[in-house]
Amino acid sequence: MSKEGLAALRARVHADEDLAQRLSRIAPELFDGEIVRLAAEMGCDVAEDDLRAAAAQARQAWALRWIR
Amino acid sequence: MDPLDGAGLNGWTPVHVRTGTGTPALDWAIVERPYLDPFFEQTAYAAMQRPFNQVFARSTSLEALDTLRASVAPAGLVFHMSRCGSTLIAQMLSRLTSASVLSEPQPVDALLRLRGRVPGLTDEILAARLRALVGALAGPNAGRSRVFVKFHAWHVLELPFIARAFPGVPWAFVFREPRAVLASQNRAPGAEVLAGTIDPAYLGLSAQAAYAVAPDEYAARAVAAFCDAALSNAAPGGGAFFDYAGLPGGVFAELLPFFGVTATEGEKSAMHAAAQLDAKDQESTFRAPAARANTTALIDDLAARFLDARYAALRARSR
Repeated sequence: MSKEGLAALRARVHADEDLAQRLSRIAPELFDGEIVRLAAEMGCDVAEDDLRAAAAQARQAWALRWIR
Repeated sequence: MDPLDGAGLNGWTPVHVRTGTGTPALDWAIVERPYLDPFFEQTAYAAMQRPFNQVFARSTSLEALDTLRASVAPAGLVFHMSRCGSTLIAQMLSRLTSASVLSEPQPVDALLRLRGRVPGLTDEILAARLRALVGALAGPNAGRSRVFVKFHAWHVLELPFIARAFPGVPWAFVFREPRAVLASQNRAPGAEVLAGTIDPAYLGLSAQAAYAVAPDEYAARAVAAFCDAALSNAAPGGGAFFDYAGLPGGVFAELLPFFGVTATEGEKSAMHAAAQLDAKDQESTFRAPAARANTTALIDDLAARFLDARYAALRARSR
């Protein structure tokens, strides 16, 4: 379920420049907790594990581009 | 990929173009810090370490560039023969408080590499996308209104196209005594002088011949082609030539006026400070190289065959 929640949250963030800017300024050490809380406020079911998995996937993809 | 229009991309920066397989895709992230790194790639890499971008970075097709409303005319374009102080110049320009310097951004390189290779992607479309891309790269960067683009060395081979894409924008070509350039490329070759990274036709070589030429000679041929491209586009008012030997003072005396920039005393001080650092490693102090590079007989021979006459022509045109 929460994969759909993350997709919904992404769509909300991508559609709202102010929201994107606000979230981008969250300190890294607070990021997962804050995003889960804000997602819940917006009715999106997102767990910290989803965020960690998404971040790990992005790090790997970016690193591969850097290496290439 | 996101089905986006330009309005949905406000505040986002195009950090990478993927062209490996399938339809090219453009990756966007939120980049908050000014472009003070020696190369854009370092700024993009740092941005992608932020949790926000790891979770929320987005991808679009290149067509998304067609929907961007904002377009920025650069204040100046910097081309170079490689290993000649262009990164130092970029670092100094980046200390102007009103300026963003796009230093060899990968998205620009990727876009230029598509030229003539994608059916239907005309020069007109590509030029418009290049303008939109530069605008998008510069747009969100801390409110800095003046944009300079420092290109990869090989991009000077596309100078006529780039000049048409940015009509009226002044461009500079930076050059250096060729033995020093070749010695540097011999010690640590850049991608621009490795066979296979640019179309060998630019160098008058077939693909097969490009790999058959010895690496040092290939480097000399590539650098010669970069110089030829600049020289052959040097119509009156079409560009200015800057010798490494005149740096960093030439930035204040010649380049800033050429680009129509008047620096404040504070900016000049920051630019002087930047010039004291190793341009490609901002944690190290710059160590001036010997006046004449320690060269081998091979480098002397290659310089004499491929570059000395071009260097003389460049010096004759320099400010």
